[in-house]
Amino acid sequence: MDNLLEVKDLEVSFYTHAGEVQAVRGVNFAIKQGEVVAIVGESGCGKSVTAKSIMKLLPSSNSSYKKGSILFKGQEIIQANEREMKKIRGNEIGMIFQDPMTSLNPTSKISDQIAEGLRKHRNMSRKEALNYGIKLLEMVGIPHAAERIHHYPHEFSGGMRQRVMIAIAIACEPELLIADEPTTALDVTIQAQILKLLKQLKDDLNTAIVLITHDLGVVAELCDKVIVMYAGKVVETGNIAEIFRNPRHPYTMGLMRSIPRLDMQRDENLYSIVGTPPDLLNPPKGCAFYSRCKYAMKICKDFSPEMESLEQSQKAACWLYHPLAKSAVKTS
Amino acid sequence: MSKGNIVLTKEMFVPAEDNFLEAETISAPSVSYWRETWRRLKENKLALFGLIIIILLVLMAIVGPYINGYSYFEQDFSKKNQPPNSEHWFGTDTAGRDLFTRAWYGARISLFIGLMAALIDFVVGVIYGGISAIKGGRTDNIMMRIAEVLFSIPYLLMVILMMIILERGIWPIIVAMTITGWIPMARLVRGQVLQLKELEYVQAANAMGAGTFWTLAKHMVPNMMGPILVNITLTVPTAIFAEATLSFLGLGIPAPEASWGTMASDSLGSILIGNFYQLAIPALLISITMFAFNVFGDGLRDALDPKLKK
Amino acid sequence: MLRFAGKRLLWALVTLWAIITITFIIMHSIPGDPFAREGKMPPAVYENLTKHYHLDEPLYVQYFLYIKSLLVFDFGPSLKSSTLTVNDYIEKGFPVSLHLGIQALLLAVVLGLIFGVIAALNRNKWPDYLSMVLAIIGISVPSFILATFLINYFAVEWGLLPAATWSSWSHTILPTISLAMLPMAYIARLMRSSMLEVLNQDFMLTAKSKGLNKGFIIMKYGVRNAILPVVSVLGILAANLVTGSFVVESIFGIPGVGELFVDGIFNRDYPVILGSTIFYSMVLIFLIFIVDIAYFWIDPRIKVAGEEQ
Repeated sequence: MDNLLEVKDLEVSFYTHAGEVQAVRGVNFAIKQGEVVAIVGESGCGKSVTAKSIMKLLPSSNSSYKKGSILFKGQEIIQANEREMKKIRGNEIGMIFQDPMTSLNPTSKISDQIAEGLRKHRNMSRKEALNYGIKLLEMVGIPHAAERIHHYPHEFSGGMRQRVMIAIAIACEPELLIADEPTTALDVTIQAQILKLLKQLKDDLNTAIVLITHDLGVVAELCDKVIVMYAGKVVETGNIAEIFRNPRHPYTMGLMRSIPRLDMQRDENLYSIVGTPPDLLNPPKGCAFYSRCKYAMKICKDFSPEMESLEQSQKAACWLYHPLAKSAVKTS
Repeated sequence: MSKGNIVLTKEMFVPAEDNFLEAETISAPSVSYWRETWRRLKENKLALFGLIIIILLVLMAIVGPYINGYSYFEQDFSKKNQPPNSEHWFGTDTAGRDLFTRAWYGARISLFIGLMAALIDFVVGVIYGGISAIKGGRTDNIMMRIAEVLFSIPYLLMVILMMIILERGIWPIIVAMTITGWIPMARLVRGQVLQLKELEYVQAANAMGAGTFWTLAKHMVPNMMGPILVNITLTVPTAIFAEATLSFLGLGIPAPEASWGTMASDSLGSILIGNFYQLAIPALLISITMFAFNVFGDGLRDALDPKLKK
Repeated sequence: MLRFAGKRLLWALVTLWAIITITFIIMHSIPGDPFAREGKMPPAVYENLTKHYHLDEPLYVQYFLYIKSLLVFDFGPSLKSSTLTVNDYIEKGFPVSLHLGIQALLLAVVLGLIFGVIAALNRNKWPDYLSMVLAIIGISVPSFILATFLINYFAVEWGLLPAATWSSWSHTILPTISLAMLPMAYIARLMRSSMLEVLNQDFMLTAKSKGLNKGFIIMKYGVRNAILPVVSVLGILAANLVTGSFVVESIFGIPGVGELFVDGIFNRDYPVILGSTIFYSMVLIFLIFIVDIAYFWIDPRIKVAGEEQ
């Protein structure tokens, strides 16, 4: 197997004063060189926690890896110590965060913030790092890069800052880029530009990307594979064509229906999934989507479904695809 | 067909009818603002400890002077400078006065000064800050500039200067402390009112013809109580601290009245002749009070602002 | 930048004018003749006073002449001596007070920052509790009590350090500690909460995701940002040091401006009280001005806001 990253049975919990929050309850996926994988789901479904746990960025004081493994190029991340992680972070895996307004150090010039990683991982001199930084800024489409590099973050607009963030993340040419909702905080037109930039970088540098988002439009634009998460679990995976053409899990179906379409009637309401996701302090023992599911069956309440292969690469965790379900539907 | 040791039957795959109901029961009960604050405060053991000390101090300030039958001013030179013993629990001072009684009488004075100063600061601050914010524009600008100028004079320096022209006594001290002491409160209130003014329910009250002062009193004060309460809690120790320093400078409460500050500064000389307890008792009481109000105030602030407590 | 400095300077002058006016009002609200002290006053002294304060002129003339004399830093004569002026006393005392003040401020800032950062990095663990207990003690114990305790133990009981006066560096240790304790505690608490806030910021995660060293992240991303609120209160802390120095100087018998001031209060020497009050205010206003300008340089976000205005 030539998987760049392999996440197996990952379980992550947070400890709050109210108790243990099981934010991630068993996540499996793999990503190959140069592939773009989207992790999709509502806020609080564990997608961001999954992304951060790949880089071991979760606060060690109140979170822990309960189970599973994260293999990056064959190396077990969960067992890696801080020294090993420092070699991976920024160097082999880069990360882009959601809010470019707060992700840059406000009291440090852009030049320093780009150069830091280069000097550490590439042993560049101050001058080399500066020149390379200018090249990077040009690459992500910042005009007058040679001048702008000496500015502070607050002198850039939101979209420009996200470009700077991307420049910082790709500075050391990482093999994997994790983008945690990179466009959520931006205006729609800027979103499109940033997506175009990511696409171009992927083609130019052959970087694998894990894209965390709740926006299916973003997914369609950029990704090869989709992972749908709900309440800390993966409920459906597949390649982009499969998922968009034929979503199988009721939650994915709901997500697809809630995308606004051009052919919608003027008076047609945008579809939304009723209810709220379950409390992960006491996750339900059956299917987590049970209380919001139109197709719920008696079994769903007490037994959690496993992932089953459905098409070539499509898998879903839903009792509807159990052989007994088909016969039950037929007979009832 | 089975999975693990679960036996799956056809009946399990019939549609569930009651699944949507469950969603309703999941949502957590909503708790009121003050109850939630109190819950968080209770979790903060240090703040709770501070609150208990404050309550004990207030109780002792009320009943303490009557417990052992001495008065705070009665002098008995045959019994001067006695270390703590069974008759005089905290010992006696250089004039043979009972220190236990004086300590709690002093608590009464010190706490009174602290609470009064905080209260006056509160009233003046709410009025000044409220007017400034409600009037807005030019008035606001001028009023805040005046406050800013007064505020740039060091607090204690101002208090000392005032005490030079005022008589010595409890009320003059309180007046001297509040002459610029209200400014932080006024700024706080102004900031809060400016924020609240934008809120819909306040605008609704205005639209319905409620006068500005009525609006301030009825709608705003209860909503700003949180930060104001914190400010009051932290004003009390500042005032007690200032009173102690004034006493040290000979500008405190005149004898035979007692405050912790005068007791401490009166005894500064006597520790050199070995009567350490005479300083230790008021010093300890001042420090415990400062400690209690500070940790309680901090705890209250954290409890009111859950953002910080994540 | 110049605009900003000019604005702050104007503000400083307005504040100074307010203080001068207040002291003038205070001087004239003192019941009776402020210079008619109990006991005897040499006629030469009384004459000096009348001449300096122009007591025979109408009030508004007195006011303008008073401001005029202060503008040339003339703080007037003193009750104590017919030949020495308040200026002479301040000239003698200020270097001592300045030495003590700088030493205490350095101690307070350095230790306060260290304690605050350590507490924030070890939140809810023993270093945090230890630093905060120290800080609460610093805030809870008035400086004259702390000073007396220090003298009692370090000088009288254990004989480790000299108890009073100002003749060698070892004489400065106890007064410096007494004076630094309150601002240190204040800085430690402020730095702790500011640091905790910064540690929660998104850019801390960015820094970590770059694979930078922990020490580097803490300094350049953490302390560099968390220190801003501390810098902005340095002016208030300086005021705190000044008022603290009255007490500390007079307990340790240090011949500084603070002792002069306290003696002035005890002796009802109004020219000394007013003179040193205004002198203090000038020093403080100058310090606050410097802090404002420093803050302007330290926080890059202000620079642009200032230029845009």
